[in-house]
Amino acid sequence: MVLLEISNIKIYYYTLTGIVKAVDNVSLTINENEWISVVGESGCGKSTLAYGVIRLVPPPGKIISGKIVFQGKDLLSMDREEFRKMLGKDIGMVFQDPMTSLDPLRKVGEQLAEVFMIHLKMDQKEALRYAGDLLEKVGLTKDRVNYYPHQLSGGQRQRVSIAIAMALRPKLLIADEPTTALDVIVQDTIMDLIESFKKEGTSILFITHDLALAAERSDRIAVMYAGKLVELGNIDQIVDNPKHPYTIGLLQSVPDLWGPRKIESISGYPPDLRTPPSGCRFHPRCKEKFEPCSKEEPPLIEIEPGHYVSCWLYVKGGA
Amino acid sequence: MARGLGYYILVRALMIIPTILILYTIVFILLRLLPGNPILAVVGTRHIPPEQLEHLMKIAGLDKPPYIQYFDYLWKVFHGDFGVTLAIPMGKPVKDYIFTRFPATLELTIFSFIVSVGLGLLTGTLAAIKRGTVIDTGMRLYSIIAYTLFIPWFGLMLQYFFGLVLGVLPTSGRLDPGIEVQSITGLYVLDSILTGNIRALTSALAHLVLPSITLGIVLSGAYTRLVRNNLVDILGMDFIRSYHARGISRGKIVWYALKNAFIPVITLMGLQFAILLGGAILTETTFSWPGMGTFIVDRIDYRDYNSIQGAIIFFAFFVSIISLIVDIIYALLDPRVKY
Amino acid sequence: MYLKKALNMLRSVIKTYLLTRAPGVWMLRVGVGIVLLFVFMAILAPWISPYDPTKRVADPFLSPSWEYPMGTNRIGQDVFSRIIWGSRIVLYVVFFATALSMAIGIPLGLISGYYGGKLDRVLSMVMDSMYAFPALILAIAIAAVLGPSPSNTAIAIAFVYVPTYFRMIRGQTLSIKSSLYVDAARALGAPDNTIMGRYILPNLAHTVLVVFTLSVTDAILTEAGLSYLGLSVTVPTPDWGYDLRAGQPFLLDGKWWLVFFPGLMVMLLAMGFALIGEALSERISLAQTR
Repeated sequence: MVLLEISNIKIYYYTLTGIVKAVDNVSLTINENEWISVVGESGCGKSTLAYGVIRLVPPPGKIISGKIVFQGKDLLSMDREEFRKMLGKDIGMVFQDPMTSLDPLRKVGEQLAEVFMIHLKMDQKEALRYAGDLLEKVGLTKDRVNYYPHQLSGGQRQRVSIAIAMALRPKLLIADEPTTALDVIVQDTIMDLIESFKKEGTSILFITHDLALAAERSDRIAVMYAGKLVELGNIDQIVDNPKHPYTIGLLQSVPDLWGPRKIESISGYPPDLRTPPSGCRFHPRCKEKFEPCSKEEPPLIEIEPGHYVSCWLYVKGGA
Repeated sequence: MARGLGYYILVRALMIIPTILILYTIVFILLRLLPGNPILAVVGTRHIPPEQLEHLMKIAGLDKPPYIQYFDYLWKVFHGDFGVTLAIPMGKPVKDYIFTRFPATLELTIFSFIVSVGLGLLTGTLAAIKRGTVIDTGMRLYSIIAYTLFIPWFGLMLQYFFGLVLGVLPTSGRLDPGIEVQSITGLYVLDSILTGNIRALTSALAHLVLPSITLGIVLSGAYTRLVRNNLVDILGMDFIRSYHARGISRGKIVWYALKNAFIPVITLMGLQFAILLGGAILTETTFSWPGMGTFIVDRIDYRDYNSIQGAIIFFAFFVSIISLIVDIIYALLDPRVKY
Repeated sequence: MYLKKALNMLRSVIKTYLLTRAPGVWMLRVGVGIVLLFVFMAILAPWISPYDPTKRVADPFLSPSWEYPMGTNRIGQDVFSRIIWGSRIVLYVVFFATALSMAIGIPLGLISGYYGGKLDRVLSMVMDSMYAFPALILAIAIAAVLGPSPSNTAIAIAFVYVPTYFRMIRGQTLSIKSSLYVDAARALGAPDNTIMGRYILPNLAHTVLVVFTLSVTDAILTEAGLSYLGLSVTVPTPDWGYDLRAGQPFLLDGKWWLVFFPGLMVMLLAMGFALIGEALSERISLAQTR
């Protein structure tokens, strides 16, 4: 059952110094009750993609073309009011920086209760009660309802953000690097929390630069580079059988806990998205590059069921 | 550890004292330690009998050495006595003048404040929301134009249009001739409301329009930048995106953003108040407004150092009180401030 | 040798700011244009002024015409000529005052920020008190005491703006002082004034420029204010603020040109500098966010 279908999305930023092709023709499907991670370096467009889904691409960015269909409804052409009602109710989002993702002037419980009041037309008393229960559910004590964000730790604030996002049991939770600003131990608890929601039926779209982290809990992984989708597959396919040189490079740069292995890094830097490289965008850094790589963009090929890759190495000429 | 609001206020209040002392010292040094005798400067070359000269100097406190004058005056001020005038009319307590003149300045200041903050918030918010567009540039231009207006020029031009050409608004003073108001607070608008004097109310308000707009617009220029920059910063923060993702309507988001942006703006409003008082001098002179500004200017012509000194010290005191109040409001509004 | 350095710095500033193609630069160009216009007006006054500004050349209260583009005043002097010559006073006072403020405020701020300690605390407290106080009032007090003359006005204004420069320089010094490369220099044994001169000072150049333009804007308005209150020039020297005051009693009689032109000039000159300041600070903040 397909929950969210992203088709040929292009999101460009029209800046003073040029057009930044942040997301260039990306297609992705998210099914019900699955955890899919989008992995890539900073600036590869993964966050922009997430913002595109919730129609919050900041100016001077614009969604140029493509479709985003959620539960059969076209999100991009939807009337703004109708879309706003969906946000928070059917789709929730958690952001990266716990320091700034909560309004510093309002108590935590109030912000949580607000979601109930706006979407379910609850009155404040009842909403605050629900808020307290919800805080307990995410691992905080009920009395935190009266706390201000600055009185909580980073991990606690992130729990609150997750509670707010999940308050109305949305079918889809988008998490944009929710643990990047936290230390590893807290990171784990947050990941557990998110996973618990997945077990209750929510799909997770998890954005991260940390492939290892993604590999922990995902059902499927999508790898992005320089605004393009380069590989997509389920967890086993990606981790045990990676095909794209970039994915392989990412995996090789993570130390192996079970034995010595040479760590290799990927040379070079991500390209300037105003003037991306011709052909395959990864070719300047690719060890396996050959003739067609600098000339034409490789198509997305399904090399085994559910496993897609965009690389000339796997395109059989003619066949 | 939070020790309570009272302690917070107390600490802040105590910090006023050194500030005022420093200003007093500076003013005192400037005005007193001059070559020559101020009384003679006023009297000029007219011959007066030496006993009268001595008498005058005694009233002015000038017969004592400077450092005694310093503490003497300080002690007097502490008891609310700001000395006496040194020039025509001579020997009158400065305090009386402050008493009648200050409310006029205060009233002008309050209304100008409302105008400038209102305009500043409006233009700043517009500029921030429509950032990068023509409207943003337009607002920033407005800010520059408003800020560089020369107050007397602007005030006089307004007088010309609304007073002469259109003839709809008065151009000087606080009330129409012949209208009187029972002076309870000295703030005519308030007094006329309190005494149910409608004629005085309309007259007072009419006289406040042009001066307040003049001063208000000029000062709003600074607010525009302030509000815009702070609001732009706030709008870039994650919690704004989070609000959007929660399905909160755009209008509400702007409101929440404004509340956040308002806090740093408030602190600077306290500073603005001091500038407001400075601008009030020019405004009062332009509109013949009987306030502290025109008082100081008049006394300068007479080289009446006592009065100038007293008025400035009173100003300093008042500005400090306002800063204190602003500090307290800030502490109350921002939950992150510990007390 | 330092002159050459300063010239080079100026050249790079011009290149970075004036000759680029960024969208905000029109503000800079207009501002610089206005300022240069007035500077040339002041320099070329003896040649471009049609009449002697201090002499009566026609009947009083003539409204603007081809012969007298801005009309004549109460004494019969040509307003246009007075405007042109008036620019000299304004620019002289403002630049003298600003130079003095900078000469005192910047070194004090540098030393205070660098050495810290008791000196810093005392100086900061004094400067903060002065800074919080309305500039005009303080300037009035000083000018009143010193007596009316453009130089005294300049001193009064200088006095009032010292805290502005002090605070800014001190703040920047504090933040630069703790950067790594300064620590490195000190570890290598560089003496204090080398550190201040070679590392801290050059980095302040950009901020100084912005504060400079903004404080000049303020100073222009303050000078006009002081002159308006009769604390600057004396008859018959032409000065915009003073002329405006002289023309004020006749405004409501319909003789608008006596007030309109002097005040307009004040505003235009101030606006020129304000535009430069705004454009520069926008550039700097843009450069920082990238």
